[in-house]
Amino acid sequence: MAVCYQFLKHINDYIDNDIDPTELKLLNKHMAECDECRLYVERSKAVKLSLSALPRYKTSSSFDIVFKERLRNEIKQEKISRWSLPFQFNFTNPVRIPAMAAGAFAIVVIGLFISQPLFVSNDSRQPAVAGQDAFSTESIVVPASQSTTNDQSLKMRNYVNVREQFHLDGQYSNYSIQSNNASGRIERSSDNDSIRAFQSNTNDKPLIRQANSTVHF
Amino acid sequence: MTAKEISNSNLTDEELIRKFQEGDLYAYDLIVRRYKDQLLNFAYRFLGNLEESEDVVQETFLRLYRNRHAYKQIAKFSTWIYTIAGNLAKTELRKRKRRKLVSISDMGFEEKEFEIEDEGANTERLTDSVLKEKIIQDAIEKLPFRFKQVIILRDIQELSYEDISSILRIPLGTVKSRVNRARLKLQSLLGDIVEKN
Repeated sequence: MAVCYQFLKHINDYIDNDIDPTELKLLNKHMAECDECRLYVERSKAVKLSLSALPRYKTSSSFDIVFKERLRNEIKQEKISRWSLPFQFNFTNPVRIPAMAAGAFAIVVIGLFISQPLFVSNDSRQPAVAGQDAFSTESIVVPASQSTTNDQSLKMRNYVNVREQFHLDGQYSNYSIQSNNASGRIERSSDNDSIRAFQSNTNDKPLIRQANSTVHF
Repeated sequence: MTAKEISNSNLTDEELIRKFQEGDLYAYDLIVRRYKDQLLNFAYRFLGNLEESEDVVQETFLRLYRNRHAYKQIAKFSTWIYTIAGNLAKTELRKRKRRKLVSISDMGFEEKEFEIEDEGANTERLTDSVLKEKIIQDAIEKLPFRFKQVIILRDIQELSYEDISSILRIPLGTVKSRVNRARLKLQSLLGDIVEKN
């Protein structure tokens, strides 16, 4: 169907009931003479009428119930993610990227700091912990001169190592401690809530240390 | 209706979303009630299936909940929510197309026989208005997506050209010309119905 191009805009405005009175006059005059344009207008109006007369549906009776359930889950999910993440990751926000990078850097630095040996050897020529991979090996060096004053650091070190050991091979008892001059072992208590450090002296007789060498985790 | 709901009911959409952004869940509930039927009809004209359309509407409101702080007062709320619903309907159509392709290609040679519904036999059973609706719905579904979008928003949802332009993020002139072309296509697809009207 061909429509007279110069009247196309007026025709569409007319169909949308948004036509200027002067333009309407012109269009009416044109349509009286042009069958093609008149037919186009009539048919377009009929299409518009058919579409606007289509039935309007309402949501079903189960809509609200189902939606409330989904929303409840959404709220629960939001609460969980708020607890686990102090901030929302948004990789599209350019302002947040440097902040996230700084955060990641800080985490790495803190991680490196924590992983530094906490044992301080009395022998300055020896590293505090023999073997850099103390987390993955079964032996930790305890300085021969270990005394009760070092218990706090012993606790920390053992705590980390023993946990690591549990994760690695699932062994839950008899974790050994060795040093150049002394050796010992750590045992898990029967209630499984604590481990206790035993230190043997040079002739390898186990020595039960003070209560404060019990490591809780 | 609680006192809070009554006090909210006179608020504009933009005022409601602002309250919701401040944590007022009653405002959110009112938005859902205001828009659920509108959006259902909108989605239904794309998908032709009420269940799937309800799902799209629910997902739209969940996205609104999740991204409530993404809405900025510079835009009209209705255009924002229609954009979300429209995108979801589009995704659903795409998924459906993929499913169709998979299910046809999954069939063996022997099974590729389609029973074509005898529409002539059914016609008598359908009431006039139901049949008419089906014909119109089928015609809408046959339109290319860009025409379908504008004609649903304009002639069914009865939104202004300006709103359609911001929902679809296309110039006003493009919206108008697409509406005209969609109407022209529908004229030929709806032949008899147009003649009767």
